[in-house]
Amino acid sequence: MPTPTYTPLATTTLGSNAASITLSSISQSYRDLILVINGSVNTGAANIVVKFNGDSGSNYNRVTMSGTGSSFATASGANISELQVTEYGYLDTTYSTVNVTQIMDYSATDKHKAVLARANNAANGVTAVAGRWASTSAITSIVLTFQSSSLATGSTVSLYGIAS
Amino acid sequence: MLIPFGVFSAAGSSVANSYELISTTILPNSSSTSVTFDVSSLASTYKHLQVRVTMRDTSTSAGSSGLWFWANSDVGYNYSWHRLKAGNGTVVSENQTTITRILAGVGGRNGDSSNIFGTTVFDILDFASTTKYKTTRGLSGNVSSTTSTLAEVELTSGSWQSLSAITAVNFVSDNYLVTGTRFSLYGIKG
Repeated sequence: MPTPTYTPLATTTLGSNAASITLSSISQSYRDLILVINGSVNTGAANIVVKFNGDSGSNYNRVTMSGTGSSFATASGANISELQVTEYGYLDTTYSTVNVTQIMDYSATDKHKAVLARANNAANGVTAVAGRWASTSAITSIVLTFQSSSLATGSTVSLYGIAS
Repeated sequence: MLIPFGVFSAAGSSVANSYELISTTILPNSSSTSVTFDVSSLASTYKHLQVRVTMRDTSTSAGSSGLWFWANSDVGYNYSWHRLKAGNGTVVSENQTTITRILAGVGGRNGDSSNIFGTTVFDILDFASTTKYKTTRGLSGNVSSTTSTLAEVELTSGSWQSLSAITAVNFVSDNYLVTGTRFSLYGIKG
């Protein structure tokens, strides 16, 4: 019997600038999570940075692929303390960035957590990200930060659960 | 800011029935290189299909293995694909035409550190159409433990040059798939 899913778990539209956003007590009833952010920052430019379960250890790895409008770009990081899910699709103060981050098998305890993200900003570029959190712990919380900026008033953050 | 859960109403109760889980296969052992879904009964209900994969195979080399797709067990030269891939400090574009399968994405390998799986989100558009060739797209990555050289992320697109409705979705890896590899099939209404 098919199971309706893409279940909304949490959402917010910011009423004020937020330097960080915490999604906690995440249900373990799903297979994957999809995090959708549509927003800008209050000052300057910034990337979206993710940490799981409050882990600030050197347990994150990533590779990115971007188009800047005039060239390709790629970057990578190994054994770093956070997972950046944007690059040239970064946040600015004028144009909204849309970021969709897929967190696969987030409740599994036999796999590192694999992450796929797409970030798009019409002024800055487009980016695809593959990431890995080197932990077999189930993800129960996600903290989002925005480097030296804050996510601006009116930005939206939503989290969905995907059953399997 | 702490976002409370369930703000859409009771969590789980407000799901529109437009995206549905149809089936999940989690491999119990390492004795298969392929996974097949029978989708012959889905045409009247769904417009598009999505397959979500976490995959690792038995290759003893570190790096990524290919995940390949074909439709209706057709292994003729009826496919084409492109990919844009980044890794090891470069971005490359590749394609194949008149080929026997579509590159859907990449998976991990046993030659890498334990517990590392590659992952793919793969869409099959208008899968039951009898007036269009079938189009696919994928977002995939495998972040190896040797990230600086072997990790990769890629966007893929593919075409099956057939006007037949897809009735079977076939995936195959370069090697045997390991225990815990997961394929989940979803239907999207239209």
